[in-house]
Amino acid sequence: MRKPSLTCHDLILPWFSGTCGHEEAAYSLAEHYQDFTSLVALCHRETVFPPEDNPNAERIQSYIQQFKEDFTTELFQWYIQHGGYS
Amino acid sequence: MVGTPNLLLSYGPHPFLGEIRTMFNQEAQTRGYLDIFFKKRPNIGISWIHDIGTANCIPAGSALLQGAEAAVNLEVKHVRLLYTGGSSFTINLIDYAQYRKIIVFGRNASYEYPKRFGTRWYSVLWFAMLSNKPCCDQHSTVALISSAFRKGSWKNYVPIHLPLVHDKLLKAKSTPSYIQKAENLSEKMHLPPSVTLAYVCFTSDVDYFP
Repeated sequence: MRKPSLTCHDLILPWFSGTCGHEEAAYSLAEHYQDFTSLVALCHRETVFPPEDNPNAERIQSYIQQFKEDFTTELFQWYIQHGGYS
Repeated sequence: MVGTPNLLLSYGPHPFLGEIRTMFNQEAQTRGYLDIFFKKRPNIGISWIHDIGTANCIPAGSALLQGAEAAVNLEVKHVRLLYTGGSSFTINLIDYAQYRKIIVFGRNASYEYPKRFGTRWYSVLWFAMLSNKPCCDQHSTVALISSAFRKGSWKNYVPIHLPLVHDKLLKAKSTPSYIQKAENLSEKMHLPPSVTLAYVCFTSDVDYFP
């Protein structure tokens, strides 16, 4: 699937990043467009560490299995950037 | 062997903490992907943690050495150099062991040494710590002890265990079986007997280490 030049990360994520009740829609859009940057950000809006306390822990594992390296690359990059060690 | 998350957490107030710890905490599920990630996006400040956790000594040593050369913080520099010393020693042992195995069994010999030595990683670090390395001053020594064993304050730990280590070395020097093993190892691995005696001393009694 071709990734659009303007991703949903740019346009849609800000609208759904709060607790407005549209999280599932945001996930669906990000999955549809394979916008892994948005997916990773959505998965880490709450508890990040320890990972088992993250309410999206199972979702993260399912994305790893589904999207493999494409997802893990964005996942690790997010951890590095948010660890202040980019 | 202490896993990567423990090693990471031992750093305490360090910029690695943040979300990097989450990355390594999930290492069991993502190990293969981490290898690919660091290969494509080298980051010597972080990749060495993964490499040490997987007993991957060569890239760990290389990354640590590069990191130490660039480090401004003296404490970080010392600890990294010390780890580099430990991994270099492990590399030497693995290289020598592998070299010997190739001679004995041919080039198709299975390569099982990294795993074997990996389980005794901290024994080797102990040796590196006690050897006369230029970087091995008291400050970096206690930093290593503190991080390796995570026994809380090194001030409580060092006075108890350092004399025991010295005592153990002295006993090894007067124990025929240790000397014999060390001489055998020295001959096979082309290392000085003093080096192999220390190695035999620490690796033959892993339970000694808390």
